[in-house]
Amino acid sequence: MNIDLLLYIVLFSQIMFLSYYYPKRMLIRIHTIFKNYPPNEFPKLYPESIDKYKKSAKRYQIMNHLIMVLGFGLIVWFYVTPRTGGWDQVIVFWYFMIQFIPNLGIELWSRNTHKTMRLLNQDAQKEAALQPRRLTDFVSKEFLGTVFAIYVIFVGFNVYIDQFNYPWFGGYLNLLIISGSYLFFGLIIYKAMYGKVKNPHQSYEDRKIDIQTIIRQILSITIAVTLYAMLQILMKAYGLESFKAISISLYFHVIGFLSMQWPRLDFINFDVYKDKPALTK
Amino acid sequence: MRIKIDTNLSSPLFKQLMNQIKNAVKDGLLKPGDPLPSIRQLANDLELNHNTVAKAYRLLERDSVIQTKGYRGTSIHEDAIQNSTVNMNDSITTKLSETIKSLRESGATDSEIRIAFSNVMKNQ
Repeated sequence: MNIDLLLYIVLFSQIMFLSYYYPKRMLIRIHTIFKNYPPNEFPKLYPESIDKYKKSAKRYQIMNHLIMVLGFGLIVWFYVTPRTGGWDQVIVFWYFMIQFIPNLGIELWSRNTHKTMRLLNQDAQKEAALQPRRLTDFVSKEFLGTVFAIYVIFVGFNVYIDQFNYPWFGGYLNLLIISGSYLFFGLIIYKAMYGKVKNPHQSYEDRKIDIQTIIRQILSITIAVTLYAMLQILMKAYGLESFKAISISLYFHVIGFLSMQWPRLDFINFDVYKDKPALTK
Repeated sequence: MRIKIDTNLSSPLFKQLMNQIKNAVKDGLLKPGDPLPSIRQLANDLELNHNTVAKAYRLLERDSVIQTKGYRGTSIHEDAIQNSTVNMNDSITTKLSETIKSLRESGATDSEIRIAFSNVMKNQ
């Protein structure tokens, strides 16, 4: 199969997955919450008017549609413009960044909602479990061992590649970047486990599920990042750079899939949002 | 085991924490060797200042209800059941009352006792 055709197919799949399927699943989730847990029964879930949330959901949908159209335009542009100098992978990368913007908006929306919940929360009683949280409470030792093993393999791989004295090889800078990523991801996990309570109404059991979801996602992404970094080096070593744009797009598929592992709605305790707040904004 | 604090109560927050941990030990909900959350975790979960939890832990450690062992973290002391029944305030009040009584019997005035107590506390 022609490399260009393969790139169009993979890019089309990236567009459909990250700007159509992913947002569709997200919107189904949001509208299911609106429908099954309305503000009159679950007032604490909506610290602000539901219309505002509906508008945000609509904005999210429109943004994704526009980005989808932009993606199709990108395929057409790739088709009519001769691609040289490896610019296609840069464009695929930045297109993914654009695809990520609406989801960043959802994250900010969620943060603001929790912030307003905390401001309105008048409950003087605070509760906590008197047990320490440990990483192994949320993920198996085998999973943690796999993450560590992949890091060790990456170190060994870099040492091995370094022997060939490739002029393009970043050497130990690769190790620094990946180690930095591990530290950054570790910080996210630490904040999720021991950081401040974001949602003041959330039950402890639901918080534990949230923490588990975040840790699993982050560790999976850590593995994906490391493997992808090794793949990039191998592709360069074997002169397969023309496949780079395809590989980066496939990598974003994986990242998107890993980010979509949300907790099931029917497992969440929505009863905590039933009482009316003492204040309204 | 859950811990609950009420910010509307007049009792200081660190005291509420201390009493609940001691009561949990007395009721057998916490057993010697049971691990406790870190100061940061408990403070963030209860939306309290870290210093409040640190103070409660420090006083519980002083009373040998809990113990901190470096990287292994904080856990319930092996003599916690016995030590949880001791009320440090009552103990201090009893000992001071005995001392003041003995000083008065030896002819010291209340004013002299106050000044001496204050000086001793300052020099400690």
